[in-house]
Amino acid sequence: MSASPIIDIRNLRTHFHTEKGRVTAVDDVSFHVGRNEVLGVVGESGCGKSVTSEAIMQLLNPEITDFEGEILFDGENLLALDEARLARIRGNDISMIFQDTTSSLNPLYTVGDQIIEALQAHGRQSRQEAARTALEMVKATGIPSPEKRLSEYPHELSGGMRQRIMIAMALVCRPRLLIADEPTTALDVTTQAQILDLIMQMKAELDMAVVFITHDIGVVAEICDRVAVMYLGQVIEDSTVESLFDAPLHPYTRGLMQAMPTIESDPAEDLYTIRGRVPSLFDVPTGCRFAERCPYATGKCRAEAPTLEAATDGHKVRCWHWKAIAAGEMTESEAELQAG
Amino acid sequence: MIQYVVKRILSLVPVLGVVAVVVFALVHLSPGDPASVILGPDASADDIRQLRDELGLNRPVPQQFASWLGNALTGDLGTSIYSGTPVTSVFLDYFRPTLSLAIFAQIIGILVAVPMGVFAALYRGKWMDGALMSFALVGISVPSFLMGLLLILFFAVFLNWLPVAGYAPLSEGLGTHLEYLLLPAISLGFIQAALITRITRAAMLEVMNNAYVKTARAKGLSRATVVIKHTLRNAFIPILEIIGQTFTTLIAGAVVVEFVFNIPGLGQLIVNSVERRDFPVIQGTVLLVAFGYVLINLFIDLIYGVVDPRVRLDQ
Amino acid sequence: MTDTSRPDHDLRAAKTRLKNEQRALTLRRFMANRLAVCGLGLTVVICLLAFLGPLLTPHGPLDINPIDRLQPPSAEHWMGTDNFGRDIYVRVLHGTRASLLIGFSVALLSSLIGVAIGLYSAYFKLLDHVLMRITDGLMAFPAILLAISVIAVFGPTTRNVILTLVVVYTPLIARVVRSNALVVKEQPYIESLRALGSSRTRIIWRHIFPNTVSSLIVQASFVFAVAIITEAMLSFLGVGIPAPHPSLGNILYDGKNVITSAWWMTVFPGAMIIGVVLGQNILGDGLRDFLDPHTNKAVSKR
Repeated sequence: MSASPIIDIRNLRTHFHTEKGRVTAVDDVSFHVGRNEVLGVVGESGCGKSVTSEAIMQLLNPEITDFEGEILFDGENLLALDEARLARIRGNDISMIFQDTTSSLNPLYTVGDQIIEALQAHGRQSRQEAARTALEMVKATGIPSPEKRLSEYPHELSGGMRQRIMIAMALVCRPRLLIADEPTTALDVTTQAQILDLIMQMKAELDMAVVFITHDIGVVAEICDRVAVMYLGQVIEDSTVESLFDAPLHPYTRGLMQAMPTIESDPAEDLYTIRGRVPSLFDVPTGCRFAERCPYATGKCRAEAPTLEAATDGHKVRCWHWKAIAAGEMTESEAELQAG
Repeated sequence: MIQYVVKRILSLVPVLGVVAVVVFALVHLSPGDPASVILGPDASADDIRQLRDELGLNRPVPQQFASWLGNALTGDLGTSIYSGTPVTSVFLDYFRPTLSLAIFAQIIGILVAVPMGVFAALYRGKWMDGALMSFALVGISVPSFLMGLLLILFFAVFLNWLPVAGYAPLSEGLGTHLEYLLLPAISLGFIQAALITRITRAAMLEVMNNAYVKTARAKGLSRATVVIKHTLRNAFIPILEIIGQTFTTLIAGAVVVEFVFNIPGLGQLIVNSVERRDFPVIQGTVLLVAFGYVLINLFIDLIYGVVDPRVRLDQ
Repeated sequence: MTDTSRPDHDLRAAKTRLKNEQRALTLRRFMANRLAVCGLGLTVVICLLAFLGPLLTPHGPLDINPIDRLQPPSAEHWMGTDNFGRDIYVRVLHGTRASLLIGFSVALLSSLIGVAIGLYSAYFKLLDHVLMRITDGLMAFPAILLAISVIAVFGPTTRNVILTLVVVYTPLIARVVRSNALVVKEQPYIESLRALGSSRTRIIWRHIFPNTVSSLIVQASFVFAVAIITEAMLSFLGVGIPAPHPSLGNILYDGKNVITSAWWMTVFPGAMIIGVVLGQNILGDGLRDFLDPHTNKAVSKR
């Protein structure tokens, strides 16, 4: 990978002011994405992965949100930019696609209009040129009869087609970074695979970096170069895909992988589940945030919060006991107790 | 689209039926004899008998209704007992000032209210929102005729700017016409503006929650484009809806405001007709205004079809 | 005996306690809703004033005193006198009383009828078609025009004013109740009640009705307000409460003719109308936030 990352998030904290008080949805998150790299951000809902992605795009309501830290895009701190400069970056240098294909397109305009609008917002083309570019881009997404689609309204298209349109719209200005926030979650399985293929193909064609946000660790294995696993507002493991799937270090990541159905797994056997529930952001544990649910948790875990430390080159983990767990010196004491 | 239009028009038939029945019943099912109601307590028996014949009151009620409805459908709503002229032409004479007033007031209302509602929504929870919404809350609590009286009091009595009442028809020039209509239109537009402000704010807030607004921002559109093109345009449907639904309150308000400002419109017509016991005119006026409401709402439904492609393509 | 009845008794006591606590909690939540409290406060003050205020002066609402015609406000006549020398203060308060009674009667009656129409048309499809077309038709009439014509035919009495306003405003209530009832009706538990053989009447009134109450109350408070406005308009046009009985509308009518010389005849009854209606509207807004924090609309959607 090349030297300077396209995006470099350093100690990002995001606080929301709510009626019930201030919550910190993202707490000291750091990660970077290299040029032409695909980073997977994995976690359950509420872990802060979407908030992080919207923080990059600065889409969060500034009146109720405070930020700390830095988000460096090509060396420029996005948190310090004014709205006009941000508008020039959004959709042009960084684009985003969303999970909800039904409501992510405005029902009152044709999809063609909405793609052309994205091009013209960055003022590079006349309407005719923009229409041509839009058509090319839609063709590239593999939608059948693209000319006809451009003059249709979102509700006339299927979910898969809408997501292709969203991708065309996001990529029409040839951004350097695409943030995909669970783009396949709302789609059926075959369509999911097609959309993933499309994203990877476009990534290669446009030579861009991708941040792929998902709760599905299986998807990560397929398409990502690196992975950041998030839990309750923090990155708890950050590694290359190979290293992570070879040897997951954090108990939470291990749990996620065990919870993933595989071809070999016996359908009669219950899938592994991580016990307990994600605590509320209003009630964040003082020690390790995962301690309450962790089968290896000790008194130290409950008292002191671990930091993200480098385990091997390019593999970081936030756990007091990763060495002992990896070496098999610790057993799932409580889990066994419960099973027995 | 054509299918949609036809469907909308067909759905009006039962509504108009109800309207017709109510208007007919108003006079014909009144206690005692319509003829004596019309002629008043002092009428002679001969006069009553003659009027009964004229009105066809000796026939069975369904038959009376049928012939009344038949006439109404061909535009014949009877003749005014007071002036002897056809009700439709009397109505049209008096309707013009009312229509001018209602349109002028509606325009003032929309021009003031839409920006106010948009700003209140954009600054939700801030002092600006609080101020605008308090203003709107007071606004819907001041009946238009009272607003008119207060304006007269202020401009005529305290500031001594006259004239504040009266009317000049459009034929005397648009400027003069609007000059006389300005205070009445403000009186009437005020409550309308307050109502539309509230609806606009609510509609904007609802639309702002939609994912496509986020998409629009993510595309790098300017704030103004996001607000106008991707929020306000979508919020327009509930705003249009309220404009249609409040047509009756607008006309009702206009009727009373005219009375305040001595404008020779439907308000005067109806008050005078009540004094003169001119029932065909009362009946015709009520029928035509209700018909106007139905037409306005049809028109607004058709606008939805233009604004919202989902409506147009349904079925 | 005592052993078995004791815990039962305790349970009942605990239940009452819980209920009381819940009630206290609801009350506290209500009191925390500043809007609702302000609206209620304003309405209560106006009611007290309307019913007790006239006792503070020796004047009656119909006492004519030609020597004291068109007097500005003074220690003797707090809000001045009208063109017959009648005391405006007493007349305004009596007029307010009439307005409140009319507003309340219209809100109550149209709620009763509107609830029945709304619930049954939500439950029975065919009935729904018929009733909804009728309400559509009735909504096409401007309240004031229909009221004027009814009164022209039947004569200007308070009862006729109330009845006409009930006819015009019942559809507003029926629509809101119906749309709420339709949502509740689709809930699975209603389905299972039906499968279990509950009677329709029981399902409609025990299970669906309570779910429509909050929006009903909100809508009724708005009907209260518009009924008062419409009554004031009718009396102002001379077809409402017949003279010489005072109403806010006919005081304003008398005042209109002398508006250049007697501002008090416009300002005081006008302020009272605004006060009454504002109180209702604030209360309605507050109740809506209190009972139904998610909706943001006063008018029902079709």
